[in-house]
Amino acid sequence: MSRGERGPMKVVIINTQYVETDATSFKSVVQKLTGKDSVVSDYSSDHPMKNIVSCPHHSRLGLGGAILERNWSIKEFDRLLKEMPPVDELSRLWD
Amino acid sequence: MKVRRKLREPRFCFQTRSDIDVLDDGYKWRKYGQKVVKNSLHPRSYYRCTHNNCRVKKRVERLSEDCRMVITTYEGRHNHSPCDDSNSSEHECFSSF
Repeated sequence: MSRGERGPMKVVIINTQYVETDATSFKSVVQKLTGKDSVVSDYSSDHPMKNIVSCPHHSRLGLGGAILERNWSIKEFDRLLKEMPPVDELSRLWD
Repeated sequence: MKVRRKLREPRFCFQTRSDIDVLDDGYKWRKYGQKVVKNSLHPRSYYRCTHNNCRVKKRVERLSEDCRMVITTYEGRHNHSPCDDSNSSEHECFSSF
């Protein structure tokens, strides 16, 4: 790729954490993660994301441990969700 | 060739089952954009926090495979307390009475 006069290549790194909640816990979880006193700090690259912060009915999504690696695109997440059983069935399996 | 790496604020991508697109999160927002999403009937809307000097943004869209699901993606952290006051009845409040 010839850059010519456009200067050095710029790489933008965006870390995305996926969270599943229900409508009632949405507000508190959002405030917990994005609020002023949020304790969630930037993860270093060797910090695998396994947990979903969510309401009491959802604990870990432990599907093979490969879930929730960072930097997934929405398309990959969509595909994963398509392959998952419905959420109601999932919570029965977890408990 | 020089490569400049830039780290953006981490994003939190929420998936929630909801009929409402814009869920109440205790903050006030102003919409600044809307975009058609490829292969989806639902557009994506862009919002900014209206608080002074607060740079938090969010985007709202629906999952094309399951339109019951709302995807809300936040970027940044607020530099102020939430705006919701005592007039919100569904407020989860842990203060003692």
